[in-house]
Amino acid sequence: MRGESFRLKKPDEIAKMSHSGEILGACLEHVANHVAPGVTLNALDREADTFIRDHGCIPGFIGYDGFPKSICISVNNEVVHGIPSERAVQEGDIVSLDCGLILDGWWADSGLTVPCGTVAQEMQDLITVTQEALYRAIEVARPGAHIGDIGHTVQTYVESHGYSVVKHYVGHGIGRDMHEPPQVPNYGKPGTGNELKPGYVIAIEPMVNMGRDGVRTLDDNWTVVTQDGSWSAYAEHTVAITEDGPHVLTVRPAERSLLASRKCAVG
Amino acid sequence: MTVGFSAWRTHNCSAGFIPQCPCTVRDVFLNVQQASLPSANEHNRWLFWGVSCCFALPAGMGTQRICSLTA
Repeated sequence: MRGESFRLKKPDEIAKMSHSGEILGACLEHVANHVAPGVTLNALDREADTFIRDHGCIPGFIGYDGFPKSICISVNNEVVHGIPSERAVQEGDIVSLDCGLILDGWWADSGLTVPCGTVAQEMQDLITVTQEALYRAIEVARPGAHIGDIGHTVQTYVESHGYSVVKHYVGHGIGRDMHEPPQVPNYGKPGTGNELKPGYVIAIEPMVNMGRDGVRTLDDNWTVVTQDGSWSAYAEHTVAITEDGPHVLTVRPAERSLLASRKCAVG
Repeated sequence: MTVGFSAWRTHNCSAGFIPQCPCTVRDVFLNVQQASLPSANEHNRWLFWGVSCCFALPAGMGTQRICSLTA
């Protein structure tokens, strides 16, 4: 395990993570607004990197286990961990943005999938279901619930729409390190796994394939794609478990009111 | 950024994760827990997750390597 052992975060520590999360939420919204036909993935990476540094933070992904860029960008059949390049996104693509930063030693990790221009309705549906799966999972992430409740919520909702959840990659605890215990799978049985308590901070991140759940890693040792070539969407938030319920630390400005209406604290 | 996942159902596991490893040693988890961590570089480091039956690896590492290390 990297860095320190898992421990519950104190309220003042969650407050600090809220600061890093707020900047990351704004960063992702900024980058998402730049997704348009003809824009290169490297250009989007530069937007993320500049935004993070301009706000006094450290881009967390660059150099992490050797990852070469400040943001992961995964297009269409790419699930996660795509490396930005001179590839230009095209009208109709779906683009997954996954970014992390560090402020005063505290990590934030979040992401979303956005359409490039006008996309086919089935692709928009995939994005919508993935985002909704995340929101539903967040709503159940409160004291007394279990990690398995989160996974079960994601899996049942996603599979009810005919999609599959990726099982080979999972969400995680987060704090002084990006990856801390516990693992947060997108599948599971209710009432199993760790019981959530105030002070848990976890990154919940559904990865949803239109086809089967199998994935493989490309020769760059990072980019994860679907085995069957189907398209995939992803969404992620860093969430603190508090006495009052889930607190979404990485809320984006445009979704603040939506999340606030869904039994979640934001910001 | 998500992390790779490998899990075994062991006698201590109540989470019901799907067994993905071909290894049939039921207490493989305990063996891993007690093993020295490879330290050649970050990418090869074990990520031990402190959950009752689960640990994860960075992208690119598969279950075969886990089994060969713990056999």
